[in-house]
Amino acid sequence: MTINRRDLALSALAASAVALATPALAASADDEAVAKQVEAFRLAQIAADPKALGALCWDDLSYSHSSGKVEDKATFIANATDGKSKFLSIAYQDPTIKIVGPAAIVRFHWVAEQEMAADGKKVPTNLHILMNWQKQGDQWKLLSRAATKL
Amino acid sequence: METFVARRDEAVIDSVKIKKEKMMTMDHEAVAKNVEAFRLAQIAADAKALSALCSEDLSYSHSSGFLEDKAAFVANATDGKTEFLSIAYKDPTIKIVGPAAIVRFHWMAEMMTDGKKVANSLHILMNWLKQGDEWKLLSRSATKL
Repeated sequence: MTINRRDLALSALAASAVALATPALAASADDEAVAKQVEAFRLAQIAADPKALGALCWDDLSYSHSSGKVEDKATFIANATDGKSKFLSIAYQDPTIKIVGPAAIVRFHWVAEQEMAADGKKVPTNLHILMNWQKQGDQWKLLSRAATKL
Repeated sequence: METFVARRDEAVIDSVKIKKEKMMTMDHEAVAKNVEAFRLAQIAADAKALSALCSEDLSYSHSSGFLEDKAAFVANATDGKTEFLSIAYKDPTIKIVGPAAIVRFHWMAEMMTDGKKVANSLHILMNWLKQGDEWKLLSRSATKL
């Protein structure tokens, strides 16, 4: 096989096209990865699944509620899966994801309904949520979360 | 010889550990310094100082859920409509996780708005990101207490 100048020029062109396209592709791959994790987190919250929640959070997780109550990872998972209340629905409305290097800023409007185990009372919540996800290796996991009553 | 090599390896591991701990302590101090500089810049309503402490990608939300990007945050924080008489960041905690810092504190402030003195009490979450060798505020959220 002979490689002529034209082939070389074309392959150089192709290589630079790949180089140009890579940051955009990587950004959208991260966007997609984070979006997938956020959706998995929403489903794990509804299911009150400790294993799924655990796999989506870094060990250094810092999670706060709309009351200002702060939980570490162990406390968050224990309280989210203790059966004292059951989520009938959780919607993450109008989500935005912004990737900044190894960080992802995620915001959405939380609209949920939960049923209290003690008295069967149904309680709706309406919150603004900030989540910060972090990439370690090739995995995105939740690092911090805060909630604001609307 | 084996013992010597093993000891030397342990010494290398120890020195790596010490270096890592030192880095984390330095990062902790750097973040604490920037958080305090941010508090002072908020009181002073100093656009230049606030801007220097924030990442270009800043996402800043208030206790109403009102959300601002960097330009909007700096403009609104320095427009003179509100004058801070005092801002305290009480019981701050800083946790360094690689290039991220999770900062939480209890905000207690007094301000003049429309000629009236108003006080507020908030729980704040800040996320700082190390960009190059500088820590910058990347996101902030507030919760009414």
